[in-house]
Amino acid sequence: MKKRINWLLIGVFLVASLLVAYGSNAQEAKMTVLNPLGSTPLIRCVPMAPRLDTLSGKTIYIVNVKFPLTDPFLVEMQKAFAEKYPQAHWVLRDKKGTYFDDDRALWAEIKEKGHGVIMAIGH
Amino acid sequence: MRKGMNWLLIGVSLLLTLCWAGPVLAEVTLEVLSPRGEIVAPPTLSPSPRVVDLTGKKIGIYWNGKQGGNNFWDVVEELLKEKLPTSRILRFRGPFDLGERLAGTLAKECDLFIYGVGD
Amino acid sequence: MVTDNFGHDARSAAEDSGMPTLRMVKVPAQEFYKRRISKEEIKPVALESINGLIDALTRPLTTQEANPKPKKVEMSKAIRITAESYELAVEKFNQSFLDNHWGDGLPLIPPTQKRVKWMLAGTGRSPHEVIGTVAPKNGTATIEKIAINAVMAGAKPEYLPVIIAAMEGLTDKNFDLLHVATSSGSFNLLIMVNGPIAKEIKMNSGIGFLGHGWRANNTIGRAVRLSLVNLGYLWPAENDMALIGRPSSHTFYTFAENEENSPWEPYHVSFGYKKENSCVTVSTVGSYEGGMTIYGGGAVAPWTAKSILEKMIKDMKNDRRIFGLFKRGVANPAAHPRKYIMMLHPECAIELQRLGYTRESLQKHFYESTSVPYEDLSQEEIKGIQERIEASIAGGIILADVIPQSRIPVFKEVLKPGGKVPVVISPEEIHIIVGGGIPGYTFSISYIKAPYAPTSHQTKLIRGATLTKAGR
Repeated sequence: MKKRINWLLIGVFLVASLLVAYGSNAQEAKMTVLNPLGSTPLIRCVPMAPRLDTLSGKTIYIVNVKFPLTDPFLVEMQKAFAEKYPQAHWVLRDKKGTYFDDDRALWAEIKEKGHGVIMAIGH
Repeated sequence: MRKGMNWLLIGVSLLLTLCWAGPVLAEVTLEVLSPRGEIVAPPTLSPSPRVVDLTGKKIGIYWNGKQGGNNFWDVVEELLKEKLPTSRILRFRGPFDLGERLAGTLAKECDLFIYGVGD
Repeated sequence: MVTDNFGHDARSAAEDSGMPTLRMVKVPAQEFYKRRISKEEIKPVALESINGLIDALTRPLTTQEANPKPKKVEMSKAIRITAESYELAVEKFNQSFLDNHWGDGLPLIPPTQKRVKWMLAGTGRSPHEVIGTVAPKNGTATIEKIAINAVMAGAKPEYLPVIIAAMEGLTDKNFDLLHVATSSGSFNLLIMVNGPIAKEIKMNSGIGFLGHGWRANNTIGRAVRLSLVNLGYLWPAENDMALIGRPSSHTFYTFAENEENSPWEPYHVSFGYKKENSCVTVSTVGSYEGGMTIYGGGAVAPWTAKSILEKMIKDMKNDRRIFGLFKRGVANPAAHPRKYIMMLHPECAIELQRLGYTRESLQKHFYESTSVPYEDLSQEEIKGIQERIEASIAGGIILADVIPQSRIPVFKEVLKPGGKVPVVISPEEIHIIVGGGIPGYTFSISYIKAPYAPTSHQTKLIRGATLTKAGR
């Protein structure tokens, strides 16, 4: 009986020592903070259209979103591309409205008649 | 002997348990250093003794140039002349900081003076 | 005589000047400022104050007034804050420091002994070294005190040599700290870093360079702000009378020049420093009207370097108004000559360099293009310039109006037929800096000539650094 009490006391002593050691270390090193970031809605990923294996016979639209002063650059771009890649048909189109506005009719036309699009953002 | 050992073990265990529990119950003390700079106070001066009777005295009015201050002092000059018909009002103007020369002029030419901050 | 809202400031200034018992008569601010436009309007205010004025002049001094004692500032080395947990102790520390006016309104990092020792590892200079005294109350700035404020600001030790150099500039006896710190004009500070240390400590010199998000930029500026608060004993509406407050008041405009994208030598090199040196430039700038003007750049409207240059010159030419406005003994900010910081965005600087400009030739171009031919001056303007020259020689005018002695011969020489009178005191008052990213904006920040000391612009070498290769 006495032997059991001694072993019990030694056990308590060891456990208490471990708690002290663990406790003091934990207070120094551990800090738990909350995440300040807001939750963002799930973004539905849309893959890019498959790439063309050739430009021959294809119609490529160059769309000007009407950011200020992009006209001269895109006019030259269309000329340069038509010269360098005459096998493709290069169409320069202005999107309607300002650069904020949607142009569903143009997207429908491109989908029907075009094979590729270059969107000129202007920034 | 064995009894003594038992009591010793009980005592040490209790002490260690308290050490663990202690920080949970105790206060935290932060000791921080003062960020304030030490100021070497300049020598202090008392204002000049007052001139109890303004009769016949030369009163200086100094305008530091802040806009609109001249209008205020013009009125003060008129009011002082009404109240103290025998006193002379001397007008001065200059920079915010009088400087030695202007201060000397005021001390020499006036019996007392008023400085207008205008702010 | 002072207005009541400036009463605290006036008493504080009297204490700083060694006259704590100076007699003051207050007039109501609410009435004074709007009524001072004419004698008729201001008469009721003067009437209300006249008896108080006479009393202040004649009533014998009290014993206390006749025997003023210097105000003792209690200095404790360390402050103990106790709470039930670390978080509560930090909260209590922050509240206590703010209540004492030792903070800036944002949470502070507790400057424990350990933390300050960590900060001081950033410099090899002695913690007891005295840098100078900080206006308005002239508290002593030691390396240790600057380090304490740097800890509070959240700075890192490698920033400390930069912060010290900034404080060396601000406490230089030729720098007018009093005006920028206390004026009702809400003036601001530009703190610019040059040299290799900027990259080592990861300072922003590109897009967003005057804004938030870069620890080095923001905490260096904040450490300077806290040092001014605590070493200068500065507090809003007590002696810091910036009526609106300043934009970027917590961190000032702290940034690094964009040396990488600049076509010219770094700014500090143009001052005679070596490229491998690192320097801090501190400069007082305006905040609001007449303070910052954008001339072009950006990503929307088109611009050319030539059109930007023309706009800047046109704007600077308006300073011609100072000619006719100068009246001896009248403190009129509109009559003070100005200093210009021209912040060119990199694309604009590159274009100007392609047009053949160096930093120096650009300064000269601004100076000469804005000078006014004598034949175009009105009689009032000629009179004003003559008066300014005479007053600058005789002395006794506010420093902000003075033409320095070295420049008086230049002004005398051009004030005759065939001459061209400059609106800027000298080309050196126009500082050309390359700042921001691509795309960016070109703008100017200007400031009147300093009223209380010779200059509002100082460049200091960064030295004593231990944790960076640069600044040693």
